[in-house]
Amino acid sequence: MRGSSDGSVLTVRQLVAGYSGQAVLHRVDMEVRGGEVISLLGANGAGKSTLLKTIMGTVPVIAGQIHLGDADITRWAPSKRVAAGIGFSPEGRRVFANLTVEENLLIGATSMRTSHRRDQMTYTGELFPILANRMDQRAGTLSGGEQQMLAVARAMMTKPQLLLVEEPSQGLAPMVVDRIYETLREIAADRGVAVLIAEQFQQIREEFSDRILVIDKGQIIPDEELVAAPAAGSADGEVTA
Amino acid sequence: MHFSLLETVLIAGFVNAGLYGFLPISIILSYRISRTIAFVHGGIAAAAALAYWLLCFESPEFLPGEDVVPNFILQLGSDPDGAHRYGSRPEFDPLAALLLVMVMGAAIGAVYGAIVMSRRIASQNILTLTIISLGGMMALIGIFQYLNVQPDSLPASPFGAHTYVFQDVPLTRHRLVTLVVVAVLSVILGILLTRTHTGLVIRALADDQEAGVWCGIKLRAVGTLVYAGSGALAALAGVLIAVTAGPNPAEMLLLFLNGLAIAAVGGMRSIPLAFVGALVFSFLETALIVGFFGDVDRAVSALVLYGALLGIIVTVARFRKENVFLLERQSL
Repeated sequence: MRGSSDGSVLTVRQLVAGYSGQAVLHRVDMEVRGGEVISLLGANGAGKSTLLKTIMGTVPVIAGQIHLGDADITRWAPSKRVAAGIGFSPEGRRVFANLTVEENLLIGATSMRTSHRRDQMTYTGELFPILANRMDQRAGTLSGGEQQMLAVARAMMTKPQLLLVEEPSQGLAPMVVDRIYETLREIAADRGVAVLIAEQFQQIREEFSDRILVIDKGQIIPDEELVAAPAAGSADGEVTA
Repeated sequence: MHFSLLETVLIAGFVNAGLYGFLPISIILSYRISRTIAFVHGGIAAAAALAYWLLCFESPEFLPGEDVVPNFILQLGSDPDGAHRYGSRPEFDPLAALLLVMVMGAAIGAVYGAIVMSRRIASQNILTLTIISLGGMMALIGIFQYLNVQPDSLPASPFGAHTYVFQDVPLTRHRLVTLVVVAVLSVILGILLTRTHTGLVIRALADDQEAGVWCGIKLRAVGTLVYAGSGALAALAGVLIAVTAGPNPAEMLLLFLNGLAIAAVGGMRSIPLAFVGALVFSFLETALIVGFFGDVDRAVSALVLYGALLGIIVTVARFRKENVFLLERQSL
């Protein structure tokens, strides 16, 4: 499954989602194309995490639709979404601390055929060569930056067409963050993957993003409103477009 | 101390460890995947013990009409002359009964697993999941208590009744086979958990269930499989224990709690360490029973046994740098 007939990898239409029937996202519309890096910015509680988890299938959809390519995946189980080509690197990395780097990567390839799992190691090893030297090391003993690389590499094990990355810069030094963003940029440019990155306003990396979306109170703020109200969704008004 | 009994303590203790090594296996397996103590396995073991007893116990000593075991299942039997006969039962071959009971344990485990590993319930906090598990155990025991079986007689072993004598210590084939089965199962499970992708998936879910789901793991399918397997093992444990200790649910629960304490020696994760716990427990218990320490009061015996177990749990946890009570450390 590679992109829809109009080129978009992910299409979200009028999405309402939340917990226990209580809506957190309100009529969200968005589209992500192959090879594109989109930064989704928002304050704490704005709905970034809920949106990504809804796309992954772990937050229930109340109304609206999610399309991956031409397929309507709104009611699909998370495992089916992963197999169809969505990779997710969650907030806080969430690597399997007691497993080795190699085992973490193999878990990332669970939805693939057994014979293909090992081949994928080479594919992701090219993204983060540092991990190749640490295959037998327990993930819990890696540095924060290495764990973030592992989380992205694990999400890339299924050769996804859409990569969701949640707060990749959290708790990391600026140099390490730049390195991770460069890799995300490469993933989009060289492999045609659509990359959607959720970040706090303070962590914005405009130079690595093709587009920036701002989410506030569960709604994507339209561009025209952002231009008219520079402080949208941000207390200090860092984001203006 | 009576050192003349040392040989008996070592031989009988080692063989008896097989029984104690059994229950922790299913508890550890289910803990690995759910991070909760699977009380429900205590219920499965108790239910399996009673079911096995009902299926294969031969009762020539019970006379027709004798109100020995009054319950609705047993009343289904009747003599050829049509006289009502309490105590009639299928009298299955013990090995067939064991297999049947293991299938029953697997089915109960699978149903329970499918329920608790559904995303809605699996996402509940650990306390809620533990209460659900406890409820499952009470429900199973309640159902089987309804049969009102309080047997004084022990069911036959599925492995035969032969007794071997080694260094003047009588050892039943049942206990020897149990020990071998525990050892073989431990090796098989060790290989399964460390050398297969299914085992890797189980270990990953023990680390972080939600992250596992984001990696494409089918939580409910894997959970159902693990609970079915551990349910079958709990049923096997129940039967093996019933043969030596009787199928009374109260006794079975006490043994389940012993199994829980032994599982804690391995930090609820390690089957080999739990087996070490089973060995120590068994050696001590045998020593107390045969009088190695002289005539010891029953209450003191219990204190010594569980005190020793607690000591091992704390020591092992310290050595492995884990929290004794398996809880996250609080920053106070």
